[in-house]
Order: sequence, then C-alpha cells, then structure tokens
Amino acid sequence: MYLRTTLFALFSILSISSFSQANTGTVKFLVEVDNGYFEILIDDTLYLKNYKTTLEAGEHSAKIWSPGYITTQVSFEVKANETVEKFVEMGISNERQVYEREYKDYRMKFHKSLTIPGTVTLATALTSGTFMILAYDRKIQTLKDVDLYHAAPDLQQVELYKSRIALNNTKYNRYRAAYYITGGLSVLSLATTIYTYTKFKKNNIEPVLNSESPFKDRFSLRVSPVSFGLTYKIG
Amino acid sequence: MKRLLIAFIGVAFLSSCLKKLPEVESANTNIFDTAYAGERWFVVEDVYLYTTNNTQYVEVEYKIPQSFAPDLSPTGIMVEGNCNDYDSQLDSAIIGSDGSYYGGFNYQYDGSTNFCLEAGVFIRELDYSINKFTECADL
Repeated sequence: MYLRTTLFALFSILSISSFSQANTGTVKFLVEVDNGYFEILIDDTLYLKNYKTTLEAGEHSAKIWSPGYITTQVSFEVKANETVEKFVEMGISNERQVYEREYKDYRMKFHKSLTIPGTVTLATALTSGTFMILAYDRKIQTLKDVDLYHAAPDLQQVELYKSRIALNNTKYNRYRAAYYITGGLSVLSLATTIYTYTKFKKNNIEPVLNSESPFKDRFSLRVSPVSFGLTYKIG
Repeated sequence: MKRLLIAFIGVAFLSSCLKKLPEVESANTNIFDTAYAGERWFVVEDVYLYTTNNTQYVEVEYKIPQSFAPDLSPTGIMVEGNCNDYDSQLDSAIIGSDGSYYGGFNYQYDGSTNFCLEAGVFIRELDYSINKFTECADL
C-alpha cells in the first residue's frame, strides 16, 4: 500500500504529554489573515486548528495555511516552561488574486443585471403604490363631496362643495395618471430585471476560491462515545 | 408564471378601481346650483279658478318632486313665478309628507284659458332667481 497509516489513541497522547510535561514550552502563533481561519502543521506530525499548543523544548518547524494564502513555513525554538509568540505574515496566493478579480467582475455584472434594475423596479413600484394610495384618498374625498353637494340646501354650500369637488377631482386625476405611468414603468422594469437576471444566470458562474486544505489528506479525526482517534497518513 | 399572472390580475383590478369618476359629471343637478344642468325641476300640478269676495282668481299649483329636492331637506324653498302677463310673485314651497315640495301662485282671473308658469329658485343672497323653466297648463 502506497500510504501507511498510523493511529494514535487519545489515552496514549495524554500519557505522553504528562510524561514530558517538565521539558515543554508553549508556542503561540500570531497569524495575519483576514478570514480568521488557519491550519498549522508542526514538524509534519501535529495538526492544529487553533493558535496555541505545548511542545517539547527545542527547534521546530511549522507550515501554516489559510484559504487564499500561500502556505508558509516557519521555524521557531521552544524553551522549557516558556511561551514563545511566533508572528506569521502570510502572502496572498495568485489563485486568490485571480479569484478576487473574477469575483469583482462577477459582482459588477450581478449589480448591472439585478441590483440596478431591481432597485428601479422597487422604486417605481413604491412610487406607484404611493400614488395609488393618494388617488384613493382623493377619490373617497371627491365622492363624499359629491354626496354633500346633492344634499346641500342652499347656494353657499353648493358653491363650497362644487369647488372642493373640482379641486379633489383634479388631484385625483393627476395622481391616477401618475399611478398609471409609474405602474407601467414598474412593470417594464420588472420585465427588464427578469430578462437581465435570467441572462446573467445563464452566462455567468460565480467564481469560487479553492479553500481546500493541503493538509486534508494527511489527517482524519474519528470521535465516538467510547474512543477518540487521530489518523495520520505519510506519503 | 403563475405569480406574474396573479400580479397582473391584481394590477388590473386596482386599475379598474381608479377609473374616471362619472359622479363628478353629475355634480350640477342641485337646484341651488347657478350652473344647474338638470331637467325642469317642477311640474304644474293643477290650475283652477276660485272666487273670493265676488272676485275670481286663478290658482296655479306646482310641485317640486322629491328627486329634484336637495337631500338635506329645508322646510321651504323660495320660488319666483311669472305667469302669462301677471306680475312676478314669490312663494315658499313647503315640504310634503312624500318629500316633495308644494306651492302655488294666485292671480286675478283675466279670462285666459292657458297659463304658462315660468318658475325659478329665488336666491336671497343674489336677489334674483336661477334655473328658470316654463311649463304650460290649461284651466
């Protein structure tokens, strides 16, 4: 078999660590990444997903990886009963640079295809809705005044209600026209949004950054109610 | 597709509720309106002769049907009447139990057999009558 696998049981790790506690020190990794995630492989045997561990005193080397960054190798010395802070500056990978460029283009196309026409649709729909409410309000007022006009028992009231009817009816017609115009624009922009977005989805695929760990094939973790196992593959 | 159809029906329904208001066009049928555009708002009910103190008079009775009266019914409506060559008279038409208004003009009889009543709604503020119409009736 090409790969040889070794299983470390949890109890054996615990016993080894208690045995060698007197000659150990702590190392803290300060890794500069913007995604908050990194993995560390120490001396090709210890796999970490946190920033701190205890090691035997002496020289060690570590490989640090984070999605979108170049895997960086660092060396450090651990002194007994001391804590070493190791600052790791990570370089952005070419793959990520390409991804960022492609993603920026993708987002730009997305905004042109959906965000802008969608916003226009929403704005015209809201405007249309506002005009509709205003028109309804004027309609109710006008019809109320028409009833009052028919009930008016003298010239003064007739004149009063007539002028109010004329005013409200003019406003009603204005809001009605505005409602139809903005409503039409809203339908038009909705159709445009559907068309541009469908076209966008058909012609574009969202770029994905490969965030696969280079260490993923080397370790596997098994946890059950009665045991805990870590498998390390050499190859 | 189904959603679009529902949205389209919804918009069409809302649009149908925002039509032009025909009621506004009818807001010129109150008899107190100087721009009245309705039909003749009174009918001559009866024309008859009567005698008082050996003098013969003619009574021209008219009616303002309820459909022409304002909904907020006043107790009386001032009507100015001109009949044939007689001088004009003012009369207050009184509301009847059916909601219509009733009134009449009386003149000293001059031998005529046909009486044409020109009646208008008298407006105190203007000091003249508006919406004049004429109806003739035989004795």
